[in-house]
Amino acid sequence: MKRYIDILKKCNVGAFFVRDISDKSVELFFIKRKLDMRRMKDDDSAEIIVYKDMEEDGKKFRGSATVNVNSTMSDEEIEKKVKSAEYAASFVKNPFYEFAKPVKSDKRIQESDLNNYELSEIADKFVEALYSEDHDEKAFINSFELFVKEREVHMVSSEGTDVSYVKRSVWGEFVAQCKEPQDVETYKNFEYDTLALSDLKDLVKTTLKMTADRAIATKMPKAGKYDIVLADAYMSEVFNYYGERAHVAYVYPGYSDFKVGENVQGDEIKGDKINMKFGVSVPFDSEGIEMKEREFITDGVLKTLHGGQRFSYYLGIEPIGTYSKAIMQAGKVSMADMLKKECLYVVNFSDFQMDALDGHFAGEIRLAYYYDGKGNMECVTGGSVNGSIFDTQRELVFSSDMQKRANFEGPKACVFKNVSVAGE
Amino acid sequence: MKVKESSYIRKNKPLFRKLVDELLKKYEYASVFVNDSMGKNYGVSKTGTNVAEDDLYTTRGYVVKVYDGGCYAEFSDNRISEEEIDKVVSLVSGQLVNLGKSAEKSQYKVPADEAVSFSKSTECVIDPEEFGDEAIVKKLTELHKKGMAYDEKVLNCSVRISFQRYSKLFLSKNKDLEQNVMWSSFAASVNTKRGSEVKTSYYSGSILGGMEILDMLDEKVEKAAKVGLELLDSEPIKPGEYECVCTPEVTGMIVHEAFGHGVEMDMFVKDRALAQKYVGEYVASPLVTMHDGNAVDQTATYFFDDEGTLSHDTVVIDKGILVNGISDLQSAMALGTEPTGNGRRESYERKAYTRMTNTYFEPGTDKVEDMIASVKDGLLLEMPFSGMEDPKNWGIQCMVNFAREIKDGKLTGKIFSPIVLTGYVPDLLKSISMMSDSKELGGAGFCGKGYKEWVKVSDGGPYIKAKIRLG
Repeated sequence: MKRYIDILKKCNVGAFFVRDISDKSVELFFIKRKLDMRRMKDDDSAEIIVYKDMEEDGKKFRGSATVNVNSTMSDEEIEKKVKSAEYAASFVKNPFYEFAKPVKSDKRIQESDLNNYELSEIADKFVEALYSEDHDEKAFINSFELFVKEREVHMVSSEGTDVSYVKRSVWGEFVAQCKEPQDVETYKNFEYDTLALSDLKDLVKTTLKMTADRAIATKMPKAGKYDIVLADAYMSEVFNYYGERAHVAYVYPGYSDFKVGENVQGDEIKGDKINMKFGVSVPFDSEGIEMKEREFITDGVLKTLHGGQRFSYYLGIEPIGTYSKAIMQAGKVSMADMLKKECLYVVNFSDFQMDALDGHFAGEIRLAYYYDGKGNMECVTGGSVNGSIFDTQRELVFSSDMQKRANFEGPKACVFKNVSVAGE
Repeated sequence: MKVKESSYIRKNKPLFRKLVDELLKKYEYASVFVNDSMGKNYGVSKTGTNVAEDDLYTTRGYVVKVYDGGCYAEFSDNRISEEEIDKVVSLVSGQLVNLGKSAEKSQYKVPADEAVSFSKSTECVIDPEEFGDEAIVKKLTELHKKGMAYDEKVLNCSVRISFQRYSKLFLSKNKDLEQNVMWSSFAASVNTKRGSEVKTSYYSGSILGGMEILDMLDEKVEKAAKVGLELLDSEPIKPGEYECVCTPEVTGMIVHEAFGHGVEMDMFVKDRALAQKYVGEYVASPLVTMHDGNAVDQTATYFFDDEGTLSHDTVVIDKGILVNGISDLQSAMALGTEPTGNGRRESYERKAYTRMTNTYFEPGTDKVEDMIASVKDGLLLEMPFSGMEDPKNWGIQCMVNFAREIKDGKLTGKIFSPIVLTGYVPDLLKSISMMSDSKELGGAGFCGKGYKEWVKVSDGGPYIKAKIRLG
């Protein structure tokens, strides 16, 4: 970091922001139960943003340009990049904005039980946890990739920001396979920032069962309108819509009409009201703004926008940083009761998309459980869901069962009523 | 002109050679793959102007690979010096090869390491770094203004250009390969709004080359704005099976997502691809011939892959029959086949997987107007949005932005949006009854393996006519 700052000063750069990142990782790749590749990584990179203030016809502008550097570069190379960024910034005529208030802080080590072990030891524990559940008679683990990471981020700005943190996390993906009566598979990924071995075991157990169920599913759902139940990652994916629409980068250009104090769940809410907080996944966002838990939506009413310094300034609000973690209040209906009514519980899509711009959520169904409301359940596969948050948000039903993921804590499932399904 | 070489690689090549030699003293096989790349994104929209090097495009570092105990291990780093060589060699033997020690390991052979040595570069007409940031931003600003002025209902018009210049070095005992490549791409997108619903229309393009791409942008902005307004009158589609004509962009998505991922042979090794059981059989209409590789100049054209295998032109489907998959080096060794030069990494920091490059259908003999005229009650599918592979079951999961209604061989002007394509891949490919007489490829986006490992690819083909289940 010091070398980058010295070069910026030598180049007489007035305003800058440097984000220096060091990454270490241990990575293991398995096919069935055999270790197929071992990998380690240890490297660094930094992003340097150079700002340039200008005035034209009485209007103030603040331009910026970004370059990427790393410790292997010579001083001359870095200097050349900084100068090119300064030049480029001089014709990036974005309207003037103020920088976020500078923050100074000692290095923060994100609290986690992952800090008690070497990266390779953590990897061994997760491998053992995953394969400890691989004993189903029919379904089994086809392949597994594990990435145990340690990231150190140091951010310094010309305005006085100087913050840093270290965070460890575990990311992985696995494929479960079942060969009889049909040869099918299920893909799952996971991310934890704690030694969440029992969560991984539960995920593996559920996924193996889901895969065995898919192997016996032959029928497509009948085409028509259904009350759809989405759970786990699909549930949190849909509710990312609110986080995206409340981002200043959506509000400033007019993609989103979200206003603080207004109802963002639509008029005449018949179902559960949304209650959501922003959670903290890293201590500082990418502009060095300190993150803290905040009220986001209360009873469907928006409490805050979020995002970076430029668009926040344009909108006349304090920049609070970009939040990617949501904490949501539980509903009143248990999953078991939810599934007593007629519904289509889609547990696996080949891909699931929530488009925050047009409000549509859609995906091809790999496995769904159709509950007929009379106590009968049928496994179905194929066809697709095509819904709209605008049409469904007034009548949501949240489960009292909860889930905890790296970027979402809240109800495990939600019912979206009267959603179009393509099928037979 | 030839794309220029990396001074970093030139200067440090003796150190990388020494690193390989030191590792070869301990291991039967050792190689180093070095990447030095720089890429920039330029964008102008209502939200402002952006000039930034991209952290995915701009990387510098290396990965060493060793063969130990019948299996492979890799270490990614970006520091290289005489002292660092000792550190890396000691880390490889002291820590890396001991990872997952209690696990049973896959058993591979040592790869054939034929003696090959070359240094090659692709061509570019206008070097972006010489053309200059200012000229690029000026052009994009003009185009942005043109898009915004198209109609008062245009909420935003965003125009973006990206380029990447990369230099790669691969050294093993017998190989010494260098390449310098440049690609450029653009995208023009227009947003319009109907109530709370924001519609997006976009067109993109790409070339193997530099800023000569700017000439392609003008007409795309106008086209995107026109479609953006049309989307305001779009309706949801009634789910069902339709006779469809697909534009080359939609054909490309079907080629890439629906079929291409299924012939990546690392999936064969894992028993994850249905295609493995269909080699030598009809999987598509006899009109269909599909390629992957270096026979075209596009964003994924290169001379050698990230494992030091020379690139190929692989015929995947020949007149409807599946004849070949594509593979990385390790998968080919596991399957006892020849590697096809498809071992690609997101960067030096990531593992190599089997990945597509430029993937496309050969053109047919039909005229587009005849194809539309032949549809009694169907749709013209345009503007692919997203897709996801399903190699195991050949299920189709693709989304396109909109479909134009065709009645009695004519476009009625009515459009439906958004559209989800679903169904079984061979059913779709076997139903192809017409193909237009020219092909187009585009590579403005990236391809992931599942939800990660982003690499630059291109795809495309001709207009095709097929029966497709839509939702």
